[in-house]
Amino acid sequence: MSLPELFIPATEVELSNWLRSRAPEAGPVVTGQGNPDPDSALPGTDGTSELTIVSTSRLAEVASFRPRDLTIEVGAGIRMQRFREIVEEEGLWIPAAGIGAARSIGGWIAASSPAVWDAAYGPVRRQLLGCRVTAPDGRDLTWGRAVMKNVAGYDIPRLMAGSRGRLGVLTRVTVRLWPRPEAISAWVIRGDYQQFMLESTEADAVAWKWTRNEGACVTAMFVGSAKSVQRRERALATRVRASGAEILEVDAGGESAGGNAVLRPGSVVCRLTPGRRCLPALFDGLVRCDDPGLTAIEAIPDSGSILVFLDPGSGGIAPLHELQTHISRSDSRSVGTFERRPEIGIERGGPFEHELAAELRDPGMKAIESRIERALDAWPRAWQADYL
Amino acid sequence: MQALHPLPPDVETALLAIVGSHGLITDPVRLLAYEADALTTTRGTPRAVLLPGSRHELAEIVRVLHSAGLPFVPRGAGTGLSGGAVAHDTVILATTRLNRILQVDPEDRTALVEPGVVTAQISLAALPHGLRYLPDPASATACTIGGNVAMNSGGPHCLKHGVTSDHVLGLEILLPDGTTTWLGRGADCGLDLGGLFIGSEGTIGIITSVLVGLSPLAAETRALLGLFDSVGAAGAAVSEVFERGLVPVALELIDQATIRLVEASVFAVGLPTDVAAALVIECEGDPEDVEADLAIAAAACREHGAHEVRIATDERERLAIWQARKKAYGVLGREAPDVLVQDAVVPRTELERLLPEIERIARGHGLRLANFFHAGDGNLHPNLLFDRRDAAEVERVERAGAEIMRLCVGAGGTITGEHGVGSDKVRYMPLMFGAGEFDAMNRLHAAFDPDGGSNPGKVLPAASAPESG
Repeated sequence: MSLPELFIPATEVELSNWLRSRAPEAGPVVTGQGNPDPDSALPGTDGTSELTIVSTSRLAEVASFRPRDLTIEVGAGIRMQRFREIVEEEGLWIPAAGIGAARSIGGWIAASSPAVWDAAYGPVRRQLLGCRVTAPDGRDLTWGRAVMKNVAGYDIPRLMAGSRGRLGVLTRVTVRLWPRPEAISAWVIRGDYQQFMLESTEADAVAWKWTRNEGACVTAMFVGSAKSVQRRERALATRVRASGAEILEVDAGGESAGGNAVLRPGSVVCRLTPGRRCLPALFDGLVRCDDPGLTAIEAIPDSGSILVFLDPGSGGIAPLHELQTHISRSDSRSVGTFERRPEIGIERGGPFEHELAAELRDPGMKAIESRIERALDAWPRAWQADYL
Repeated sequence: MQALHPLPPDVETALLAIVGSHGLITDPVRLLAYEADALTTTRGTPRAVLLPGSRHELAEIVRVLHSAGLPFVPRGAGTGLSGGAVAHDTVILATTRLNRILQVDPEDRTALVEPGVVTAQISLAALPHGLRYLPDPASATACTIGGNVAMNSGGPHCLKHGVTSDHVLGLEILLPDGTTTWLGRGADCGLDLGGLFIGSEGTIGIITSVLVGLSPLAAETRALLGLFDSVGAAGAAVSEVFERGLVPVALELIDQATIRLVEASVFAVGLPTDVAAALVIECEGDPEDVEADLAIAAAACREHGAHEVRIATDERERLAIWQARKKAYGVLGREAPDVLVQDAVVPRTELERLLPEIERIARGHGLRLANFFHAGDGNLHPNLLFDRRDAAEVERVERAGAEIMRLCVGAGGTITGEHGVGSDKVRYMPLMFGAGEFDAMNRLHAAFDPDGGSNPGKVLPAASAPESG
């Protein structure tokens, strides 16, 4: 396998000119941070077209920072660690727990994965107020403004959040900031996860995790005034002790908890969104099913979503079909003529990711999505991510 | 009234077969009620109004209209403030009879509702389960959830909790050709299709059901009122609240003109009429935190010269504080028969500078102005009062409105934060977008509505479409 071509534009203009000069049949562009790892199994490679990687790492300037307005506009390639340093200097914060220091803000937004703060602060898409996108044809488009509400025209920033680079390269983002809470902390508890989840009245956000090697645990997140956090931490500690569970870790910074399990190249990560009601049964079912390909599970009960990590080359797509059957059984709600299918998709899936996704996703929604992709001359097989 | 074009007889017959005579309005006198939404300056006469009684009937209607090549305008309760539901010789599809709450699932914290359900009814249905639907447009007791989704409506409490788009988990829609489809929010790792549809103002299809997220009730909710001698000082106090690390659930500003109108009305709550502006700040959550948050808000007000800060001690006092804000729009009718309300949003720190500027513009045009708005979001609502029978005054209102809009956009703002573009603000869209952005939005529109049958003439300026260059 030949190494993919790597392009590291210094400016949006350079990126734009480069895209304009490319042949239309040149195939998708994968956008990301850092250096390509020849062992990592990249999506978008179908073996017939050369893969091109655009790194946004040099598009990392602070274009406009208005700390008093709680907004900042930055290059999409700025790394999370640098971003956090900049905003924290002004006493500000973004609810991006578990997003690693080396990842980029653009990758965080382009992936828009469900995260532990979603219920308390809104999902990633709520934090994106505006963006600049270099479209596949090389045009630079500007969407949104650095204001708290905006309904002028179609809500393109929402469409861009989670679009994974398929609609162009996200080059600049305007992000909503929050006053840094006086206290943030994360507790990792091992014990009966059911007991600390839906009923967790003390914590502000909760995530459940299970790994093949370590079993199940619960992450409880606290945020607020120091006094209030301490009081609720004490209440949780009392309950943990009474139940015979074990406190594995207390992270007073709170930012490291909620991170993804360590992935092997080519791992398949499947995202299920069965909703809050069906989540406990599904999580339980997954923990008990004895599929050796299943390496980790993460659930965010408040947003009703689960990430399932499957080992590469384990059972291929078979376990995913099983999951789909399982999830359909646990939520086949039907009201009148209305039927809501539980949503299922592929967060990342190695070289066959697009094929896997196409098999699993709702055909109706996929058809609507194709219309949008055609309208915007999108790269349906592109990917803006940070795991290159 | 404009000349009416009746429906072609075969189309009328087909529609009658679907909805029956009580579901079809063609009588010119009855059509008068559908001439305008709450923006009374923009009017148009529909060819007919259809009131389907079920989602099935709605789908049948859309198919008939599509095959006859007749465009339609979706309409909820007609409380919109941008002329988005005005039909110019097209057919109105009113969703008001599709008002069933199909399911409240307390465990799932969701409610599945039809588009004609009145927004406040959702929270009422959720209340027995200790839940609520968070977005609270001022018209929540009258407006419909379908209209809220179409416009991506806001409201006072959207400051902390987010707007309509942040509380909709999925939508069932009809495309303009009558095919039905479910739009999720990207939970399947695809595009946020629901997010694109929310706020599209009926231009890419019509909503048949909405799955909304419900949230737990707050343990405690308390409010305070800060009274100021200048509007600019109140604006500065707004920024101060956030600088002190507080994001309240609501932060509203009411000016003297509004307070005087409220106090002269049946809704009077005993506010002093000699203050230049009042801030309403509400906090919720854990009682201990609320107490601390109110202290921060009070200190921020005093720092910028508030001569009085009243903290509500009980629920009755809290509701009294809100009364002045909630009844404000209604009492404008005491002062003038018509009002133009804009809803530009600016960076919060610009309020201090812009509020006196806006007053100066209104005065310069000899107009009466009343301000009450979502200050915490920087979402202005300058209300210009007038009488539309006075043509010269209408012209002055238009000019002042345009000046205010340019001022706000120039300060880094947007032309609309929650009321939508509709018919009224189409002319301001070029302040926001260039040729490339218009081209992309027109292509998106065409992907859903190639024949232009769904709410034609709204949101996107006709001149921005590719045909006209």
